[in-house]
Amino acid sequence: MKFERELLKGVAPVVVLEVLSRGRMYGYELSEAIRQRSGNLLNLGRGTLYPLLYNLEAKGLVVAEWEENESKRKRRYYSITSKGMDQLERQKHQWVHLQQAVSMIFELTPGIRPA
Amino acid sequence: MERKGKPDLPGNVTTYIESILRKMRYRRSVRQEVEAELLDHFEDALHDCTDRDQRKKLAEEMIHEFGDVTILAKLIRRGKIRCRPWWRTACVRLFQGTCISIIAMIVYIGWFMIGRPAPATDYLARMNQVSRPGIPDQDNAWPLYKKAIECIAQPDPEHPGLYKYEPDKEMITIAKLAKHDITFKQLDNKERQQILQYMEKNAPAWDYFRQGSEKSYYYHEYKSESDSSKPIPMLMSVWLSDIEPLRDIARLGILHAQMEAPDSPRKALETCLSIARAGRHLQTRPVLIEYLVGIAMHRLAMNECIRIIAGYPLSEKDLATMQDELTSMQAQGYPPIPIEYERIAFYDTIQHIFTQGGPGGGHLVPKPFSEVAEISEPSVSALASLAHAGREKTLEKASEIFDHYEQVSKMTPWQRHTTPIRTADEILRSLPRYRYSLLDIMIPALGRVGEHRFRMIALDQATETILALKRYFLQQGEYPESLHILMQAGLIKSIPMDPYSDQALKYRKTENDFVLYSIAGNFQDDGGTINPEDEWAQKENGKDYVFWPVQEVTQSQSDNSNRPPAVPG
Repeated sequence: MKFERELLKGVAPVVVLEVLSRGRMYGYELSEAIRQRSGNLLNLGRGTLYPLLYNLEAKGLVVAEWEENESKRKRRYYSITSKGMDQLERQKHQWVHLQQAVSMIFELTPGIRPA
Repeated sequence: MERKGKPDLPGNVTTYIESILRKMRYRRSVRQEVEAELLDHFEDALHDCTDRDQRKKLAEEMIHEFGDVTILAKLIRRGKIRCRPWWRTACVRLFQGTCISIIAMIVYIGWFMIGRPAPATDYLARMNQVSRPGIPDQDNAWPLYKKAIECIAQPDPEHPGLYKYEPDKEMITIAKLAKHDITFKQLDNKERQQILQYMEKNAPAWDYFRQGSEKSYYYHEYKSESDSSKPIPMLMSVWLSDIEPLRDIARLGILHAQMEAPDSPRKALETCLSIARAGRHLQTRPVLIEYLVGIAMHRLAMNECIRIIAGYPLSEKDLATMQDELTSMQAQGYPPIPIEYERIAFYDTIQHIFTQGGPGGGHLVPKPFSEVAEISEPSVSALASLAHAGREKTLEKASEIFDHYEQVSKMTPWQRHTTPIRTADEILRSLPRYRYSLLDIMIPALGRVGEHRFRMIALDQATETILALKRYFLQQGEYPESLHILMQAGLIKSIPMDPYSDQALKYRKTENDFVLYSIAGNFQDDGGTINPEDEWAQKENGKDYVFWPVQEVTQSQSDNSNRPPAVPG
């Protein structure tokens, strides 16, 4: 459990940015989107979500705005900024590399073996 | 962002959110925003669930997923703080800094105000011990001076023209004569009668004084006027009760000399010598004021000697006797200016008004400081104390100034004039005034005090030289062309020196007389001319100080003048 939590901690910002890169969302919507898109495998703890969003906001990677929706309810919508997009690109690239490397070690995908 | 109307959510959810908000301990507006967002979250999650029990169960599961209230509150708070704009962070930091500074200041002021001085050294006892010479009591002049002081009678206050009542001293002084611009002979008969009565009443006092002046040393214990409940008295409060009466008896002695001179100038000269000896007694005391009064008495006596030599015929033998007496007195040397006492008095003041130990070695305590500096407003003394430098720094700077005074007091006026040296005023001006206000208030201006000693020495040498020149005249029928001829004749052992040039006193033979003078404080030879308004040329228009011939003195001269008066008749 601890290992999974640590892994999640590392990947969570990239996941949030990736989901937000496809459109702005409010908190609950975002958590549901992550759950659904990961096929119910990735369940970002709710307690982690909001502090994470505030941290991303502080770093200028996302911006938040209060807006009324069709049902006249005010919600806080989060959208990714251009700085957030840059960061996402970099981290996605790193993530793919890491994923390949780890897969190779576990012999899950074919790759170059050391001599 | 305050939410209008709360959604219908299970009680455990609202309790959970309230707990988070409470533990966040952050700005209200931010808490409202977080509350709105979390309520939205739960409302959305429970939206499709209509069964009450199911809603409650689902809510509990979500709460479990959200996790521990304290940790969540802390993480949200941290995130929100990071979101804060820079100017708000700056304001918060400024506010926090100000609060911490105010608290620190309050603590510091509290600590400052409860500080109390803890004097440890009884400088008065030490001074009494050190100043007591190891000589038998019968050689001490004090018992006789004490008797003289005890039996001195005040002049008759009914003659305001002749006497002056000084209420602050509760004493009547012989104002007209004290000014030295009038001699006994110049008084009218009625005034003379008054003076004679005054002298008669004080004949015992004068006798004791005269006997005392014959003794080899002068010692008595200093006593403090301060509160006797204080275990260690302050040197500042030492009572110098003997100075004023002894000075007055010295003036009485001058009257005696003036009365004796017509019949016996030699006796008058001896009277003057008694006054000079008493002056020397005071010069051996460690307190500067006593020393300076001693110098004043000495100069008073020497000036009267010159006046008598100028006004009355003296035989060669009388002149030689007087010269021998003077030479033997000079041979005892001249005590240095007692700066050390002033230094010790300052150190003593420090230990009575500073705390001991702590940062800077101790700090100034407002209440005793206000008493010493005579500051009536408590807030002023408190602020001045807070701003003042610590004990160690204050002592360091004071030592620097006293070292300077020590150094300067040993230099002749000419050496001071020609040596580039920082004055005490310059040292004081280089210090921040608010940090060293005590030095400004307490350290006396002693920069030129050394000059008084050198003037006295010059006056002594001049008197001796005048006696020798008179003897030469009686022997040769004329005055010598130079002082070297006087020395070659064996009448003086050395050439008298002028401290304002570090060369010989100026001497010039005139038709039937001679001129002997110092170039004085303007350091220029003005040919033996004087400015009666500025006798030692301390100001811009000063000229020379002429020992001989005796100068006519105007009525406008100051009360404290020690110049020889006009020769009668």
